[in-house]
Amino acid sequence: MSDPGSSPLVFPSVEWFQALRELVNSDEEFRRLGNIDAVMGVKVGERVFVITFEAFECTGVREGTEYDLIDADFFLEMTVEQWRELVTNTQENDGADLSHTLNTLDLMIEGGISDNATGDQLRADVFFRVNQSLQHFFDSSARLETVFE
Amino acid sequence: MATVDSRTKYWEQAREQGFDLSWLSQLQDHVMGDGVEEYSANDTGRVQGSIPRNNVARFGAYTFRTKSEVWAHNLTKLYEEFITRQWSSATDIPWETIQALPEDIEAAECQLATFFTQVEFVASDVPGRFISTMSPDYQEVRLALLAQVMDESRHLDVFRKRALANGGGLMRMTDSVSDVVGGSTDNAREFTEFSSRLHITGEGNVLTLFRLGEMMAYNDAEKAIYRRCAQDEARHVAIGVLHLRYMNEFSPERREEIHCYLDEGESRQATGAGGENPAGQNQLTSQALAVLLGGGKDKMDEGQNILRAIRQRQTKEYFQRLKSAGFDDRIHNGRVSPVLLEQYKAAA
Amino acid sequence: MYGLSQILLPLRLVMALEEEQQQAESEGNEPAAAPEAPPSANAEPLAWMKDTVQWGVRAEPGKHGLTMRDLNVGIYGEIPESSSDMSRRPRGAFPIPGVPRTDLYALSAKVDLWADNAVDLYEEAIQRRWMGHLEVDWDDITPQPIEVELAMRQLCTELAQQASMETDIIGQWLHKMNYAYHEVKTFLASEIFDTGRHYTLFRRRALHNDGSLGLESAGQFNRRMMETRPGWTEVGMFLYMVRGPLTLLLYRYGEAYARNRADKFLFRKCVEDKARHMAYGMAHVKYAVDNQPPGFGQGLGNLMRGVERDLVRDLKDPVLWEALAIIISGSVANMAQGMAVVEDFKQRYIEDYLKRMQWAGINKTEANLSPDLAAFLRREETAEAGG
Repeated sequence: MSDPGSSPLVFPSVEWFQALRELVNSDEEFRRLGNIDAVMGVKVGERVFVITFEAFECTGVREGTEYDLIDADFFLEMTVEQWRELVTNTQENDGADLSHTLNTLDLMIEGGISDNATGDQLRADVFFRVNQSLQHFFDSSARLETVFE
Repeated sequence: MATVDSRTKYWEQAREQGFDLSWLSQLQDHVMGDGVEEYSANDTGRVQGSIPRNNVARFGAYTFRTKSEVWAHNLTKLYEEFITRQWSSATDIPWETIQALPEDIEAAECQLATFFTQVEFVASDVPGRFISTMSPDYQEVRLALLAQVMDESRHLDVFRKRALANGGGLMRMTDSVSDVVGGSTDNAREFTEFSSRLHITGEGNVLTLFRLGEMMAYNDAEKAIYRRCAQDEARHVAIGVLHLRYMNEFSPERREEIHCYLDEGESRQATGAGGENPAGQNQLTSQALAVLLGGGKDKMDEGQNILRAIRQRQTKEYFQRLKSAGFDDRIHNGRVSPVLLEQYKAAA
Repeated sequence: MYGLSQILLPLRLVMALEEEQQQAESEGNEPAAAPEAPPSANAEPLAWMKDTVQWGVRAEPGKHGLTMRDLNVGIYGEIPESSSDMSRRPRGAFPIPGVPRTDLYALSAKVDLWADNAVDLYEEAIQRRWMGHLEVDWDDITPQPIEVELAMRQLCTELAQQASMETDIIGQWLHKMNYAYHEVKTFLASEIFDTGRHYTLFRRRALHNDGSLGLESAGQFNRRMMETRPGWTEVGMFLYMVRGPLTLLLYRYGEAYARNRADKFLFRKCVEDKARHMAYGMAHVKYAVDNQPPGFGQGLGNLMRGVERDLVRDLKDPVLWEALAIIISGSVANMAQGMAVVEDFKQRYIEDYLKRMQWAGINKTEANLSPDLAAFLRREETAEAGG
């Protein structure tokens, strides 16, 4: 949960991802998982967020447009409802349960959730190369008090 | 929970649908033997203890397929130590502690680092060559060797980093081949010969030196390098000691042959031939070490004195390894190199 | 000038060493006390102090620490197109004349092994290392119905063998690679270290819950990889673009259908490792296709015609697929449903294979694919219940 007294964070929003960024950057376990050098797009319905990881930390969070996905190593795309289910499930289980990990969703949801916008397989594979860090990143959202727009 | 009867029914129904499932029955009936076979008939790369098939082509062609050629006890425990004690040359060395050094000291550091970069190539290549020629039934040995290859790669990496981190550069390469007496680590085709040469003699000498890294280090980064490399090197030496101990116990008929390998290794250690021991006499690196140990090129005499003591310590530790492996009879029966014996007595 | 022994040596160590030395000298034990001879390459004492090709290098650590890539400055970063050096001279070290060859490195041309990303992947492998025997919560892996247990043992036996074969394959080639390309050699060292970890963990997973091992692999493609001789590029294509996607998918499905968090973690970490291996392999094959003479990529494509038949033979073997179907469906009784997912798996695998080959510049499409493999892509027309 976020600090007592602080307002719940709205998902999706820059503030929500920013709070997640701060959580993992102060999390020794996230650092221990190893370096992660990736630009990740997150597409929630029509909205796009760009999350940048460099070395051992998350260095940037911003809202962007679909054009930004071209420069991302990979982007995760789900409907608003699917994202909401993931975030809720993560909170209820202190991390994604067995059927809501990123890899599982990528296999189970029709068309997958992760891809590279230009079809560059090498960059798309970054999703797999740093998968545990990404899972840890989203699992950390269990500690955020979240409301949905 | 399905009962045995209902399970049998399901399986039968599945077969009627076109599934094979014969493998399922094979697995159910499979009882793995305990222990490692003395002879490995594995020609297909199968996992030790798995169920062989009779329709797989034989492509393994493993050279080493008897346990007594390669085995050592307790390698699984050692391998786990390999796994848990890995480190990063990029982030586990406090590179920021390196400060500018006098030119002669920096040159000596870089010369030594160049040597280690090169010699770790040998220690990486040669074990690697043995891995794929060894039956997977002796996977514990293969695992120890592949972990060593990883360690040695990191060593050549960290010493290259040291050479290029402080205003210096790589220096003169080492001639490790000329004047070699007997077989070399490179040329060994037999596992015990290779192991006695690399793990016992070569890495044993380097381990002693790394353990005394405090004496050669001018900053915390160098201390960390030597300390961590010493940990790694100790595991590599352990592979050799454990193997020789096994050979002594279970292949006594090969003791004389092994003594011959040790003769060659000692000859190289005593003369410095082969250039594998940086502290050896007549070596380029021994000059660099004398500069570092003495504190400058004008204090090399002092450095040489310390170096002499280091050689004695190398020999002392080598003798202790012989004892641990059960080959210390050579120390007492006149077979050991007289030069080393003298050093040992001096160090006692 | 530093007086090292006065400034830095711990006093206890100095005293011990001096004592040893005094004793040795008093007993006349220092062997021959031979004066240090000058290095063979130069008669002048300390001449080596000037023997450097480039001095004054100061690689600086960055956010990732001091990486191998940071060292590639000046002459030290010049990667030769080929190397005739057979003496293990570190790249950029001062050469001396008259050094005999130590080995015959068959792979001494950059095009035969290089990938630009190897240097970063080496550091990534080290930073993302893990300790499965400690980090996997083995107690979390409780017994499942016997059919699922047996199927899991079979899957894990297959994965352990795939890892072990990878060790063998890389082991055959690693020592043939010239040290001018140490970035690749060190990365491959990290890869065989990974394969050792995978072997150990999947064997352990198979034996968990009083288990045992299953059948060995079908073997035809293992044989192809082991017996291939023309070059590392060909082997790399097989290992990273044909076998690699299969292994990666097995890990991914293992994660997706895991029944506990421990298995989830185990498979997920293996996904990371395998994707890293494939990143090198794909980059190398593409580098080779881009830099070898025209027609090389076409040759690789042609080579696949026979190789695909080997692959088909393995894919037709039912053992792995039936095991996977049982794991997915949770029982033999429901394995027809599981097999439908397995058919998805196979389709995904072949699509992935094509995608990666095309990425590397090899003209591999459904049109020139082995008909048996192409059938996996049109499974709606061909698949039947029961596989």
